[in-house]
Amino acid sequence: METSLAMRIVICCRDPHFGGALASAAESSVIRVAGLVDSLDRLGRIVDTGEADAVVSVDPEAFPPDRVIELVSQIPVLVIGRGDDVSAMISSVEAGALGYADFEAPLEDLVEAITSVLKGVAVIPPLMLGSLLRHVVERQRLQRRARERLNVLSARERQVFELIARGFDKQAVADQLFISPATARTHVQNTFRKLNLHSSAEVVALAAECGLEVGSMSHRDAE
Amino acid sequence: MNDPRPRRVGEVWTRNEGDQTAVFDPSSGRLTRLNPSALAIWELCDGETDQNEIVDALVELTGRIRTDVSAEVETTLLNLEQLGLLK
Repeated sequence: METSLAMRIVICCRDPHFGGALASAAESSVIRVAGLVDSLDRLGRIVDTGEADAVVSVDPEAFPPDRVIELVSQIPVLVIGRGDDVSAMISSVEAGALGYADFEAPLEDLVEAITSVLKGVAVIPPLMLGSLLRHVVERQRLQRRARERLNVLSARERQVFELIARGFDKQAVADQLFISPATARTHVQNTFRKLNLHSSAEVVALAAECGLEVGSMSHRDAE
Repeated sequence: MNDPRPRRVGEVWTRNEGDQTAVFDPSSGRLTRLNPSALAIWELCDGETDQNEIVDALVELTGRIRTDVSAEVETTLLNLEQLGLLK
């Protein structure tokens, strides 16, 4: 029985010339191109067969990184976009891409980036590193300030806050914390008052700023 | 590094040279080439961002353990200071 140790990649690209050139450059004893696709549907079909160890997404406009990453779940993604498009790089990384590479980089550099991502190593164009670092510093700073707002809450109110943010209504909060609905209502009211919030939507927004888990807006009546 | 919020010197000229960046300080006449990591850290030396914030961001981006990243940032800032690129 023949077995292959090659890692398999799927290339998402609407331009068959570039996609083909990249596929040819990437094919080697250690990398096999499992597919060259021009739509998210086709990417989904290949991923469903378990034929991909990494996804290379060329053209973030055609293949929005958040959609690709949601579709492929745990598979590492390398986004290839414009080297001067800092916002595309940042949104790719924030969406969960493991790497970003410059579309205009030499093919061998792109293959090197693919190899790194297959190894689980993050890749960022060197001259974009500063912008990404600045972005992360500022996001973390905002998160810290938002979290400091929560310091006024008691430990129980903090639990209540997190549950409301995750979509729990008062009854669900009471059930989750094994307290009476009346006690839950009091905690919810105190939480809203201390944080000067007026709706569950505001709780969700603040929780998101804090980097906490937030849930759906349905079945909520906490305010 | 004594200053928890390092500040880079102001009047310098920078030019990208491949993966490195040349930084020329006309006041001292010194030309320094920085690798991308050192450049990224130097760019964050705005007098407002403290050393811990730089470390936290790098830890998140690289997934490496904090003590290692912290030591590297400390070394980089000391080097930048010795090169006259920090006030």
